[in-house]
Amino acid sequence: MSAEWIGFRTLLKKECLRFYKVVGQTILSPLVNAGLYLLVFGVSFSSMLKMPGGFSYLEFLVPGLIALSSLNNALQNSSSSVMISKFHGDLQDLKIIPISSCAITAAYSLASVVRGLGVAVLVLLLGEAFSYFQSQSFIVIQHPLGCLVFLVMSCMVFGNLGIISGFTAKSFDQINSFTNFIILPLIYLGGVFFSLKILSPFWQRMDQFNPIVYIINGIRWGVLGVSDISVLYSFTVLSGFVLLTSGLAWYAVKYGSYQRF
Amino acid sequence: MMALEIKNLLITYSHKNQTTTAVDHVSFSIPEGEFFGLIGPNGAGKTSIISAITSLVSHQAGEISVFGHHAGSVEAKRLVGYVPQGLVGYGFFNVNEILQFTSGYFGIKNNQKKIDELLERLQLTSYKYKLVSQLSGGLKRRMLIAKSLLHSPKILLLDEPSAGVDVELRTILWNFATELNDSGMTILLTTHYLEEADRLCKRVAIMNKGKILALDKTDRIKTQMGYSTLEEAFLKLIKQGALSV
Repeated sequence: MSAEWIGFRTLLKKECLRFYKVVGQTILSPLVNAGLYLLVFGVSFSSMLKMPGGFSYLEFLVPGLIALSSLNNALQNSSSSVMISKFHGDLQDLKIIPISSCAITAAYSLASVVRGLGVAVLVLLLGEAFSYFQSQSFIVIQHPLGCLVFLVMSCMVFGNLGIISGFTAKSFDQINSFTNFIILPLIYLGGVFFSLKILSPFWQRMDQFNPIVYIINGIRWGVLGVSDISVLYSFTVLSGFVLLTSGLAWYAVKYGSYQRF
Repeated sequence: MMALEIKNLLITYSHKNQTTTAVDHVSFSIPEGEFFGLIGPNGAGKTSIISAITSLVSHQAGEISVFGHHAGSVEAKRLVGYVPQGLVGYGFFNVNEILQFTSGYFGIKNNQKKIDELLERLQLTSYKYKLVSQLSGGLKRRMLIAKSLLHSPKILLLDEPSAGVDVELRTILWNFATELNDSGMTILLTTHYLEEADRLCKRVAIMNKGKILALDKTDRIKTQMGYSTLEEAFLKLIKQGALSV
């Protein structure tokens, strides 16, 4: 086993252990948020709304919430890890250890995927529980492997975005601005709570420029078997984003700021 | 063999269109096994040099090599142990976890025996499972020293290790550093405690404003200035106006 591989595995383990140590904030808190969305929107609107494909609103909402929770957590995992390390001063360790920028990027990105997937599984289980109490039936996942592929790729994209923002931000304020003013609006407008088909043609065209739309529809296809957009097209767009954000994240790790606040 | 060679090193910092020269075309080398001191007042450029060796800051000109390897290369990083000047937090982890992770970063699996030895030597065993964030400044300093030695480096960079520590810890550090040097480890120490440099370093470079003003054996500097301690020689230089502090 090469030294680089041991180093990569150690960094990945450390990053996973970091979010596990604050499991209340990192895993359980998003579960409470998802539970409230399911209760307020899913349960209340289910009897009033019928979604494309004949699904109840609760069923339609579950994959959207899986996407919302997992992407948000994947993003926060890497960005907050880098920022907290900058605050404590231990980010500089990454500069002096003999691990390549590529391995460091991969370790941070994969830790985000692990957290994103963990949250996704819990939100799915919560959705199943709500579905059972609502209609005495579970949501049957139509394409488990497809769902997993879309989730892993999307969490990787958001983990990479977290790395980029973490290494380029010079304050907590900057990182919050990036998340609150750019990422969260894109996620919320990306079809978590609605189908693109209910939008006017103008907004349907506008939403096609939102990369999150492809992620959410890919995950919705994985869970429910329906999507507003061609699955192959979504997969192609998402693959492009994986490559683009991985390259940018590597650049941020290699040339970004390691300075302590 | 030269443990460290620095040739014509230039480090500048830019902030709001203003450029400050921290290290101004400095050259020196340290043979393997030497205990070398970089001394000078605050802002002399000591930490900048150490930061350039560890790739924490980039240099605008010059060359740095560690045992013949380009500083910043994976080969050089494996040979360098680094104790930073500032205390580091490590918010989520205890001492043992941090030392285990660091061993892993250097490609070492199952390093617990070495970790326990270092903890024992630095009187940290009872703090093994304490969160690093809960340690006092002195204990954190000891942990950083243990952390820098986990991969058995050939050269140790100590950046003002005794700044702000009590007399007891300072003695522990001095004895430990001497012991490491006696075992063959090359040590580069930066300090503005002249007593420390006088006691530990075989050779020193006196720096001010990014330049080396004097570089020689510690005893020779004292003899040439006609004093018995490095501190007196240093103060004489200040009086002569060679240094402004």
